[in-house]
Amino acid sequence: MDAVIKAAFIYLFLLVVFRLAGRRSLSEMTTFDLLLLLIVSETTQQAMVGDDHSVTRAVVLIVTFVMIDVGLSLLKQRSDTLEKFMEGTPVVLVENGRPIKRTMDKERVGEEDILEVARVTRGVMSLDQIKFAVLERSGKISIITAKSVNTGETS
Amino acid sequence: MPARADSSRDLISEDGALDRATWVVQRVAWAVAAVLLAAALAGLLGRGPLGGRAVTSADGSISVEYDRYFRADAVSDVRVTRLDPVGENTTSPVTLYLRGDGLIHSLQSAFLAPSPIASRAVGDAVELDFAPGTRPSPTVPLLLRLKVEDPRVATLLFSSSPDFAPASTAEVNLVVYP
Repeated sequence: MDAVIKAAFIYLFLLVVFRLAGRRSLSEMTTFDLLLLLIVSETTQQAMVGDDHSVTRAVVLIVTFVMIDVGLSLLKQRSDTLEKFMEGTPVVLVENGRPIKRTMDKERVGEEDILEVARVTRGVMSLDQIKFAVLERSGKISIITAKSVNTGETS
Repeated sequence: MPARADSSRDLISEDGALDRATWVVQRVAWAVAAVLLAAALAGLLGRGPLGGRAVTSADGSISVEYDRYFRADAVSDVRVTRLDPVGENTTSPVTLYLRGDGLIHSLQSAFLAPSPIASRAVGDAVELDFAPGTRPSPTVPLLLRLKVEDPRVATLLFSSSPDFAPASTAEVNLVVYP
């Protein structure tokens, strides 16, 4: 019983922490982000497992995590409000070549970040050529060029 | 345009029958997982409300509280109380006897409180002596922290008599999960 309760608490705690940390914090992982992730996983593992290294506990913990994940995905599918609360919404960072500075500052995205994605994914060199840059819920930036809007092309 | 839709599906190698079978299997697996979770919450896979047991010997001399479902290599607590039968001299030392399915040898026991003044292995049994003032009582039960190394179904006997007479023996049945 305690394994289920601990796992549920840790899941919800991590959900809140990473939602509060913001979406770009782990979407583009640096070496330090990877280290941070390892430290977080090691710390939570010790809190959940303690001195019980049995297969049964491992099974119970894994099933708890997966079932909470499945349960929340089903709830999110039925409730737009819950989905918005948990996943956030896409945010426009550049509109018609004009960077929206306030949004970019709040989301901690620099012009260079947008241009880098634009170069890598669309072969675009300047903001002028970008119709929209959108920070997606996953933390990734998608670039829509004026050309792709005209042709109906999506990235 | 069904023809175009079909060709699109061919392009991405969609296999509708396999997808539908996968969805069915997934939902069956979710149901099984939900049952597993309910069992874990109820205490059927370890500690929990339905796993707690209390047994008392027929003569009332020994009482044991424990969780029926153990996990291999994990520590579980067993509380043993040596009750005072009417007329027994409470100032004399008390001995507890433990025996069980060769289990004693795979038990890692730590006697927390109260501590026995002596312990002896006699065959496949263990004897624990307690000083008069430190005998396991309802207010201070003997706390055994047991760690069973192998999965098994086992029986542990706690007795107030050296020959494990049925009347003065409390039988503890354990299921040890892997």
